[in-house]
Amino acid sequence: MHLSTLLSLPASLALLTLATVYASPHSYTEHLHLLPLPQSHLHAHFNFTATTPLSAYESSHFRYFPRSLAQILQHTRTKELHLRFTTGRWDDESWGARPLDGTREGGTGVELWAWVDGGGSKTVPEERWSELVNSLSGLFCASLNFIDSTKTVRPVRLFEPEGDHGSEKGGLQLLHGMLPHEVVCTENLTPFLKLLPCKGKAGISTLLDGHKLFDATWQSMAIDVRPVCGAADGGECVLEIQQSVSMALSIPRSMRDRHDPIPRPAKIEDVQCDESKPWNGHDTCFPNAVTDEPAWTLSKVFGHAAKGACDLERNDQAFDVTLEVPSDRPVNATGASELTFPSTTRRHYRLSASSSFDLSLPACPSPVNPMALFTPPLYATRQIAGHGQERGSMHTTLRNPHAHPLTLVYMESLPWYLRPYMHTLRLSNGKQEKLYYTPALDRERGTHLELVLTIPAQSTTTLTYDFEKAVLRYTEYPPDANRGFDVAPAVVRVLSEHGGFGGSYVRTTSLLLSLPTPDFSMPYNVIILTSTVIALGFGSLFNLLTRSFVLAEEVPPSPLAGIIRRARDAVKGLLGKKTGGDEKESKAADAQAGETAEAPSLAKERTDGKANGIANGHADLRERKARVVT
Amino acid sequence: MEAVTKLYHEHPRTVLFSAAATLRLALPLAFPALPDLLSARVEISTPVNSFKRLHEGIFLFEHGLDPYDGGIFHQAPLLLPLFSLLPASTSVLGRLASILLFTILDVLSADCLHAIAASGTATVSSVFSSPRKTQAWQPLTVAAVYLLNPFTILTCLGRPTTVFTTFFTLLSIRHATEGKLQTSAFALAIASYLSLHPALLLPPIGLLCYDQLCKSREPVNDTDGLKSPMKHASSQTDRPKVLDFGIRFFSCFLLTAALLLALSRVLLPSFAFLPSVYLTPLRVPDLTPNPGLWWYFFIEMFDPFRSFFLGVFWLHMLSYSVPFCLRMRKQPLAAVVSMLGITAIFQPYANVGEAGAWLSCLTLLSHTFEVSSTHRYTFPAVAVLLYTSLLGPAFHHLWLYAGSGNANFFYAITLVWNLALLIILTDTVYSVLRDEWEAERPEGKGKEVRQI
Repeated sequence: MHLSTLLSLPASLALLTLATVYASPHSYTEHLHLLPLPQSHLHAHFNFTATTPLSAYESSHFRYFPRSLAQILQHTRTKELHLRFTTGRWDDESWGARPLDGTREGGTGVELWAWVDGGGSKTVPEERWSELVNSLSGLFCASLNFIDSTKTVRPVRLFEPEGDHGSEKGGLQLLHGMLPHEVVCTENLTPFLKLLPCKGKAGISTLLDGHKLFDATWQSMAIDVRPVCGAADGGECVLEIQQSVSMALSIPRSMRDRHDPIPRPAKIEDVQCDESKPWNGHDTCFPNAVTDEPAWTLSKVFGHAAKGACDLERNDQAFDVTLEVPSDRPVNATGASELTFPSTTRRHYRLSASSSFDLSLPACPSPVNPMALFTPPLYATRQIAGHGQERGSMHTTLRNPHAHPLTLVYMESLPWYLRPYMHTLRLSNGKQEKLYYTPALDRERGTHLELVLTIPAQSTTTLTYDFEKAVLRYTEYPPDANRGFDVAPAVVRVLSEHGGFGGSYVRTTSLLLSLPTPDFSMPYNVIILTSTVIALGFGSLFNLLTRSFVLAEEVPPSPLAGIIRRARDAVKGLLGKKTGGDEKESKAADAQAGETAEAPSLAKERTDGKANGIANGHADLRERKARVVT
Repeated sequence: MEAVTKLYHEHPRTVLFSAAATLRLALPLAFPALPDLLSARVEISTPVNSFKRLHEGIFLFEHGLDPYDGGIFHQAPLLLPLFSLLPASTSVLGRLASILLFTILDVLSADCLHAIAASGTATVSSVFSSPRKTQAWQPLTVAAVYLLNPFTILTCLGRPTTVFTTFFTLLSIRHATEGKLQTSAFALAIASYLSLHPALLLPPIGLLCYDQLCKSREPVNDTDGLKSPMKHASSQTDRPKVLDFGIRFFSCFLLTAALLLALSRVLLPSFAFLPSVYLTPLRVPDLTPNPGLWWYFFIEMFDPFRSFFLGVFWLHMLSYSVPFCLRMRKQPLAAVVSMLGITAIFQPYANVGEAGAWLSCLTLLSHTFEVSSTHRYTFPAVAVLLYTSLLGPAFHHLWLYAGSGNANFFYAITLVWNLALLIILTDTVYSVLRDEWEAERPEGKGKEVRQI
């Protein structure tokens, strides 16, 4: 129950931000929220917010807002940007609802969506989007440039702009791309930290260490840029950048000694046996699940303590770190002053500029009661069913744990080589309100499927459809073709009950799709074999069509055969058998033509005379025969 | 029993057709999963004729989306309203309705074959009469071979839309044998509209139709197959003018095709269907396995040469149409059947349905079987056909499901299948030409011959 206050975090952060915004349009705040989770996990949410007035932004004058990113946004006329780098999986069965309603996290890999000023044209936003992803790719050392037209979709209902765009809103176009195959790692963290005013050298950002961050069970780095305008007082609009890192670390895992990171089994004396098991005995032990939260210190969990504060512009009420533990739990903080607020579960700390900050908590025998966790808005899982590499079907299970029906927007962005059959789309329970579907075009465009669904209270809905797997050209397969292809996660937006702005987001895990593979080793063999078969058919048909038939005995002897015979005769003549050979030869000729071998002119005359006697003659053939005779 | 025998003797065609129809309708009733299994087979359904893809197209069409703005549906637009009328294919009734439709098509095709065989065009043309014309099979046998061909039956249950193409092609041939210029061109235009490659049959069918027109204008005189030169010369003047006929036939074809395309445009929001339906077989973007020669070749093709080989393959297919007409001008039906074989073997999205229909059409030239069985390799080729049709599905399974074989297994089988079909095709062409030659040289019968 006390954990549910986590959900109010964005509101408090926004208030905080706005409070500082009006003090000075150039502002910077940073904040770390720590919350122990069940199963010895710790959730840490880092937030860095910088603002710049829009007028300063237009005139390229920056103090805390990162110039490198601003120039890209200006060049590509991007008005609102959301970029996510995510690894791992948030275990919502044990940890409850996602931090900040899932609004500051992305699907596995990289996810990017932005509102681009289209200028009323159809092709311009795509060009600008392409420039944007290519520039961001360079800035963040990620393969964002692989978000091409086949991975870009234009969601209809899934996202709404968070910023105040005023009259511009109509001309903005939303583009969305996901890279589920991207491995997020240190090379993405370094540019992320470089965008901060303190560059990770001071303040809470010093806690961000690649070894710990990417070793977390789940982590999501987010960058959100949006324009924020003052409320009623007509305050100046500012451009706000929120950089956040949200992570769920396993405390025992991250507390391992850096020089000896290999996990070892616990000593037998330390293992608690489950004595209720029937096989429990003096030599058999079924270990009890460790439910206790071990003792931890900030410096051990994050590798080192926070070095000083990033003290740029701060008001006296601002705090850097919030720890959310029961008030009776002893906490030892060094290098910071504790600020007290009328809250029972939160402790706020303000880092001192010079000393390093550390927190240490003793082991807690009664950890967070899992029942007190805030229930997620929805449980969503997605699998590929079926066997074989020819076809399959997609199964998405959506479970509504609440006592009221949910309206949600479900979006899938599928690669073109997965060909879904929408006429097989079935919803086992619940109601399909609306369907937005853009079918894939081979090598040009991916599938975009967006559904508005209503799920009844306390029920489970299964969404299924069949698909076929395409066979690609052999050059289109990656080097590890048999690993499979990643399919981007489905994004679910649970609309708030009153149907207004907002809603919480749930993302499924990414999927692995195994496609049929050709044999990569034999393009030449295939080209040669197929061509041979075709040539064989063509050759024999060409022969039949262009040549005419003659009887085998009418075929004139080839000149080569004549030469051979003469040579043979010459050899025979040398051996002194000339007469016998001549006789045999003339006999053979008699049998063939039915006439005696005479002088050529005589034979021709005789055959011609005969031919005249035949009604329908074949004079040419007779001539040919005559030639055979001679 | 006696009644059945009597019925058979009195109305053999009715008995045959109803038996074939009953078989086609009884099979899905006995094995309800069979039609969907067959629809999913790559040997029967290809990207341009699959029944499942047709349903996807109908789904998009009925939901107001352009079905051609996607990579799945590439079939002719007029099929959409036709199949929208049928009940949903997922229900038992819908499945039966679709099978009934395809059964009717099959029976009509068989009727066309019956008529073509009964016309005797295969053995007697305006300028030629085969010495073996007495050996031609009964028309009923020809129809029976088509209807009871296992490939045809399986295709009928798999319901690919190329069955429509086959039917309209046969209808066009039938009208050509009756000398009906307009209807023949009309049917051929529908077939070409449905799947493009029947357009290659334009020259041979035109020749056949022209030949029949000539024949009908001549008095029936020659019973012995020999014509006196005098008579021949006199009939020459009666003949319709070639150019005149050609223009009429071709314009009839073009008009019908244009009409069909215009109708399709009326039905759809844009002209997107033109590239989707007609460029897909030309550019082969979808490399789903099929029993043809193209798919693996273009999977393994090096990218810079892809368009070159696409051009070569299509030119190769184009190159047969006119030479067949020239060489077999005395036997136009043989030219048509040979060209059917060329398209069945060499088309980019080949399927056993069209190959089976062509194999059945070969019985139209049954008088020449004697030649090919004595002098050629028909027996090994037919044996190879049988062996590939058994091993093909097995190797496909090994590749995609069991994982114990790779793509080369299935590729090798398709290669052998096509080789066997090619051998049968060359044997047919050989026996037709030999038959023609033996009409001139009766003494050459049964002797060994050479080609020079």
